[in-house]
Amino acid sequence: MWQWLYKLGSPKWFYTIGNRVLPWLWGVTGLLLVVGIIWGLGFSPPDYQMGDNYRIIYLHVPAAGLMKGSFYMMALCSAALLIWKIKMADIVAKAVAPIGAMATLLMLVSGSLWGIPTWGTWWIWDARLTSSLLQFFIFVGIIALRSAIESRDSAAKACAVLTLVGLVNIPIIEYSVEWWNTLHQGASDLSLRDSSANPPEIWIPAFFTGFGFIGLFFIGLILRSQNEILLRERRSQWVKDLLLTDNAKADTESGINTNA
Amino acid sequence: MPEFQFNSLAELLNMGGYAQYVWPVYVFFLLFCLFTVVPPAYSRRKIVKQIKARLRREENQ
Amino acid sequence: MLAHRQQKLAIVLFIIFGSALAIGLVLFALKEGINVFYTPTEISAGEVGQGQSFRVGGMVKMGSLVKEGLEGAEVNFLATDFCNDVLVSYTGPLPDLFREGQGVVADGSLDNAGTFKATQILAKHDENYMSAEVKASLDAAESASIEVCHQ
Repeated sequence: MWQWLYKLGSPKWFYTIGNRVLPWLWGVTGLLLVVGIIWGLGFSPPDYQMGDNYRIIYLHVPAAGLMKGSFYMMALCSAALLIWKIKMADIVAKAVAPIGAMATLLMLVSGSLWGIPTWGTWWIWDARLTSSLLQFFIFVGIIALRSAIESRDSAAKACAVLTLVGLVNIPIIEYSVEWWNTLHQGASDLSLRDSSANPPEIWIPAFFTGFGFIGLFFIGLILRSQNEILLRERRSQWVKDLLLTDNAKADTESGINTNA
Repeated sequence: MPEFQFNSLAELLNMGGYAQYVWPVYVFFLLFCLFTVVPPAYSRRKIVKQIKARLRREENQ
Repeated sequence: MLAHRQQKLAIVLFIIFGSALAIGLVLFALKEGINVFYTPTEISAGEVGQGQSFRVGGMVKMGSLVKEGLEGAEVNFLATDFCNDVLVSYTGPLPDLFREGQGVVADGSLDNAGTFKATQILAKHDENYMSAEVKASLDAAESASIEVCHQ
């Protein structure tokens, strides 16, 4: 376990493993998303009140999950950076931020489009929507902070602190619908029975798209982290060996010949 | 087994009258997928090219 | 070295719990202000003044919806939290989910007679999704669940 974590902290190891994982990840993610979307758009039954409009749920809910997941990942990396000074943690935190920001945007846009016919408005300043918008600005703020500070080490530390402070907002988003009166409804209780509210026939496609989103997240995480690794380690011997040995094809999909 | 809920392609596209809300969300998701993959793949090429160019310069010196 | 790391860990925990505490206190102080609507009970307790613009939220009481005419005409209904009711009067477009037994949030103000003159009606959706078939069988199984006043 510790050995594994220690290895994960090595940029070279991360880069190599990333290349090995990526082809599988592409396949599985593509499959999950295609199945989930076709099922959700065409095969799950229309809602008794919202008709076909509720099919937005199959992207809205996974996007919300990704927003949370991205930020947990960034917070974990930030703590690892501040406590153990793991360089790789900062690389991953930097890679995840734009993905989280876009997932939050997808959640906000899909929610708005859902709200127009259902609620009768595309926006209301209730606790859920407001805290979600704040989360988008937290992501953007972290990205901006990093680009504003020239020294890489200071930028990493500042972003890590901001991320840990921003972590407070996640439970606020989560419980806003319970703590306050909001227009947004509470979380659904999924049921395993076919004959109750939120039955499997409704939520199974969301299960597929949800795992598809996780796959997409890790594809983005690996690609962006690998870029950052190449930039930071460009003077190291292993990067030289890597780029010189497979001169013909050094892009993302290529396998790596160097095991040294 | 789940059944296909629409009788025709036109009906599917119409989304029970909610086409203008459902489809833009799925299009935006497509953009999200592209955003996750394309910019990092593009910068990968640039980074690799830059490093290789530098390595070649250093070799020639 | 170990002591150094423990110190860092303490700093990280301090950041997390410090900001959580600070924001928690702010939210606690704002508690009422964050609510996006008042309930009929809060209104009947006189928490909102006449002429003041605010939102009321509740259920459209079963059997209380009166449409004065065709689409776009005046609608009247009772918004209820099962303890108290508020009469709401509104003219304008309604969201798809507006119907009896459905959650509603109305924006407007109280007139002299205590009627809520709404300028905008929003429908509140619950967290239950199901097909019409499942809904029908649920309704058949439990004859109209009676909501009761919790106070």
